[in-house]
Amino acid sequence: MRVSACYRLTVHDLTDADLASRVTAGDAGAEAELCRRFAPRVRLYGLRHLRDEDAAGDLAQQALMVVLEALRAGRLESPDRLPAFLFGACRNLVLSMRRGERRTLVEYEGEPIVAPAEPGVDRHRLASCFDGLPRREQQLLSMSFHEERPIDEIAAALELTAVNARVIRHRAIARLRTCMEGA
Amino acid sequence: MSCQTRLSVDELVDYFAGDLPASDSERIDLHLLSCSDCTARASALAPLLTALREHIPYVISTAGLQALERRHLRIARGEARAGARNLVPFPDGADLLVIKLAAPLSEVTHLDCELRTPDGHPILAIPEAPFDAQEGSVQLACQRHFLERFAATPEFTITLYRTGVAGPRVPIAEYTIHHS
Repeated sequence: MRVSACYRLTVHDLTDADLASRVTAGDAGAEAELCRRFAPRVRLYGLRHLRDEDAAGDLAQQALMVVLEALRAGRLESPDRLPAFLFGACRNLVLSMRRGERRTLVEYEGEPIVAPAEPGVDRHRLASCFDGLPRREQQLLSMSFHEERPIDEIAAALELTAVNARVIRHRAIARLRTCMEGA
Repeated sequence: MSCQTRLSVDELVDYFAGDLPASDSERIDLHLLSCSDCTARASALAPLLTALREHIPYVISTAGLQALERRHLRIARGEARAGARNLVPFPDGADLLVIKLAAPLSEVTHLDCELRTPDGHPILAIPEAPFDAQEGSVQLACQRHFLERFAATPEFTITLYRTGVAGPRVPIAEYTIHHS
């Protein structure tokens, strides 16, 4: 008996470049998959450069609108260039958002194309875990993330080497994550 | 496609803290935009680091206050005098009340703070608190959720101690603060 295996490639299995090509070809399913796949990546870019959950969500919405419009119009030279194109779009949008042009960059109607972010961090739990850290680790985390000071400056203020300051910061974050996961 | 240049947690922490050179930071920007594996790992870390930015210490430095002002928080300000009972209400609509405690700090190198109820029960100990020696001030950051947490004690005392590696711990100022 002859056995044949029939396997249909779904959009979930496509590479990013193939997905981009399918969007250009007018595949609505590929558009949805592109948004599902890239929204978390753009959110991270937003968290790094805008340092705010809501602004990062706005950036994801805006950047994916820009990308979808470019792909639909066939403006992307090569589908392999999708991450670089997205990077350029994110960088320009972040500059605009920093200038206070938030929410006016790309007009869109209907449902948001980006799903809401997962529920955020439990702030009360974080406060409790933070209070349980050794004082030196609390100081380093506050100076790094709350005061937004560079590690060299923090190290000088705490009379540490920059390498040692990084080690203490990484250890503090590992402790915090363990504490938060034990909630 | 599996990731060929897996980003480490340490590298991601430096990235989100803004402590990488611009070229390395851009390399990670691009990598995260093209890699689902590293995005998943970074997504488990980034919300915690973002929340840390918004975690306000009990005593804040001038740099910390400036960072809060950049985030457009509604910050009310008050002052407290040592040895006095200071009425410093938390205004409606304010996110944060920063109380400036004036103290003789020009000779101080290390400072501890302790908060107690009026009958002496400890509330908080803040070793190695930030202060401005030149201006002679300590900035206490009262947050709205403290009002719920310490609802039973709207009045508290805060004592500043001069500390050092060799010397004894010496109280230098005490304030009584009432919020309403």
